[in-house]
Amino acid sequence: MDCDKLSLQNICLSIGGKSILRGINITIPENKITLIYGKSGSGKTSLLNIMNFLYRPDSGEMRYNNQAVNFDNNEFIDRLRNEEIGYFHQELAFIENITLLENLKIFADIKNQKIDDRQLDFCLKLLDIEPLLNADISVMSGGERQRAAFVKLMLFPYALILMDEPTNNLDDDNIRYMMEAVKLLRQKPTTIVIVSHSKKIMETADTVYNMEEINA
Amino acid sequence: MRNQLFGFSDMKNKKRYALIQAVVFLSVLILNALVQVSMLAVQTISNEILNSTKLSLILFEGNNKSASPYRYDMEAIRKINHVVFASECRPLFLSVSDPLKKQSGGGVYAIDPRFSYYVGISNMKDNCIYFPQDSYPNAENYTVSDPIGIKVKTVNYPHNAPMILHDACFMTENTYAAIVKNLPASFVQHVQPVYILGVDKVQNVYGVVKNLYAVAPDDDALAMYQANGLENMVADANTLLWIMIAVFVAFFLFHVFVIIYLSSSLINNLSRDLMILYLNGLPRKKIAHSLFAYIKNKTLRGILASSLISVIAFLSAMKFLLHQSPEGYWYLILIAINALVIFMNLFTFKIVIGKIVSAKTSNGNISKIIRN
Repeated sequence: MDCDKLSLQNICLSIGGKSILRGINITIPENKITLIYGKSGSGKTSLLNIMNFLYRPDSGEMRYNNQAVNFDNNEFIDRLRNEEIGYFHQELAFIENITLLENLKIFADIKNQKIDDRQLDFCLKLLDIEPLLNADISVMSGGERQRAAFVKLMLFPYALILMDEPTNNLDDDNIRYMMEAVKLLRQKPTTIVIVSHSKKIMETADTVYNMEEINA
Repeated sequence: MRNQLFGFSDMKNKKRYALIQAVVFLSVLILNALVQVSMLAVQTISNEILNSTKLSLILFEGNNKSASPYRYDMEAIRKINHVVFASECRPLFLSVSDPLKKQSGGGVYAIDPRFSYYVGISNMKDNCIYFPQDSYPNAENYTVSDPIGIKVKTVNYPHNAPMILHDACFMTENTYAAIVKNLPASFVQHVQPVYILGVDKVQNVYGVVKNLYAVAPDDDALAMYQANGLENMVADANTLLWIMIAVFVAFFLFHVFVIIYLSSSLINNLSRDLMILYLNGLPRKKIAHSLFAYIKNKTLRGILASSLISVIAFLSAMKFLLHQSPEGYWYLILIAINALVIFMNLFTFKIVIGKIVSAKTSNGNISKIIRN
């Protein structure tokens, strides 16, 4: 039976007196890929930040697994972040000056999990970054970092993955790698929300929202 | 494992961690030194000046207008504020068998035995004459040749009484009364009555002296007291104690400021990493806890070492430089102070780290980075 992982009803948000989100009504189906696209400044990152509990909406309701979210319940939010939500952001993916493996070990530690070496090998091969496992993050190119960030998303069992502009600054080769990874991710019981200004990944999405339409 | 979570931060913060370790190490040393010097000063000022029984002693005597020895109203003297005790007597100048001094040169005074510690005698007993050790060594071998009518023991008390009673010998008021009863009246009649007063604190001696002169305004009265001329020193000693406390508090506040500055500088440098940890599911409280545990792990050994070094140095200095054996309560105070310093250090780090981490990983701060 299909059900919604997230549902946002009449979500409004203003930042610095400027109205960013104006009565957003969307649902994010469970174990599907949802793409929210729109041009820069359309409010898609702000919407993702609400889903990631970084913003508290001025009004409206967000439901997670059909349960109304109380943005003041830090314990609940901390648990969701730790156990269920994976976040992808190009700039805030890894700790600099240490290796990819050291980063992955830290994230595993945060989640009280162990890294499955076989799965790690598989992910590295798929994304063609095997030699980078013991490389310092700070020496990686933008594309390599993006691919490395996908290793993290594939390695840990997230129930909800939120991706902010995953194709930003990627060349066609890197976009291809990323699409492969997303295809693999969708085989898991994982709900994926991607916000992007690009329509290149539209074909991988099950549900597509255009910010201009939903944030009229 | 979480305690080592911040191991990654070592590489780019090596100098900062080293600076924190050095600052904490030195600060604990300096705080300890300040406390220990203050303790020594407090003990010295308190025992040797402010609460010195020798400095709290007053010798009072006077003549009336016709130059005859005057007897004052003991009740009026005892009622003066801060007077702990007052003894009246005409000192006895007894002949003793001392081969060097045929007479008890400073005279024998009666004193209330409950307060004999004011002149340096403890457990004063009846039927004894107490001779100062420095002036009359081997007093137990003396015999009194005057017809005092009772059998007395001659004993020494350590050192000498205060200068105003230099060479003075003492006996209890009961013994004095019994001896005087047996001596011919002429033996004591011509001797001027002397009043020995004990005051509760040195700082009150000056007020008591004023009041004593007020008791005998028309008499040729004379008050002698060891604390004479030390008014400014006594007042300054009190001020000095407050200055020491103020210096300690000021240095501690400076230390807290330095901890805040160093923690803030470290966390500013880690700011982006903290956000990444937060976005990857580590709650703010746990980030702060892990960072605190990591810093504690790095600094605790230094804090303990500096505490230990300072305590050993202090105790050695007491023993070898000041030739004092620290009493049991000193150890307790040192342990308590070091426990307090260690606790305050860790507590400050914990509070500062908690506050700054919360600010750095606030939703607003992270959103700002993401939006940019």
